[in-house]
Amino acid sequence: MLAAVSYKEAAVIEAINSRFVPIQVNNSEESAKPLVGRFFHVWTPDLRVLAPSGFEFYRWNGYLPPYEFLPQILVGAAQGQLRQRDYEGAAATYEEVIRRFPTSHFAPEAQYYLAVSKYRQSHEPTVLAAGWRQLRSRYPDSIWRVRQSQDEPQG
Amino acid sequence: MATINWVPDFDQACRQAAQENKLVLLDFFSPT
Repeated sequence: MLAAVSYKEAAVIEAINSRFVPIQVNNSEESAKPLVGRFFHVWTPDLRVLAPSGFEFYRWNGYLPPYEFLPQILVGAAQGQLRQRDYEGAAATYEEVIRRFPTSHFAPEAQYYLAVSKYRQSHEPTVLAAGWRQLRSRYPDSIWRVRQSQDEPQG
Repeated sequence: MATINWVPDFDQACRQAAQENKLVLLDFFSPT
């Protein structure tokens, strides 16, 4: 279904070609066994964002329509940037997700890691606090708000 | 019409990603 729908969407094609070197692996082929074993693959769709070394930065399972696949793949790209300590690049990609897809299921994750990216870049606690406020304000019901709720009243 | 530039080989994808300062997107799929 990804091939039939999401991979035909122009914005998805542009996002993949501009940020990734993509490879598809048919999990039923004998030649796929080494990669299936190496990445402990069990279920499709199964997408991995990898460093050029092959190290896995991010993964997800399941079909997504283009309007969710695109923010998902951008969040995956941003996580790769963040893990490689490209904080400025990661922040820009997370901001793109929030700007273009503010109601996406992946926008709260982008808001969370936007705060992390900006803090890691600036080392300013006030920057992190501002990011958490935006997360609480925009996505109060998100698990990503819960993940930074240690300073909120408990009970 | 534009299409995704899939590469045929994993090692090639890794080498090309290093050269182009990109990430690798690995998509396991099932034909059925």
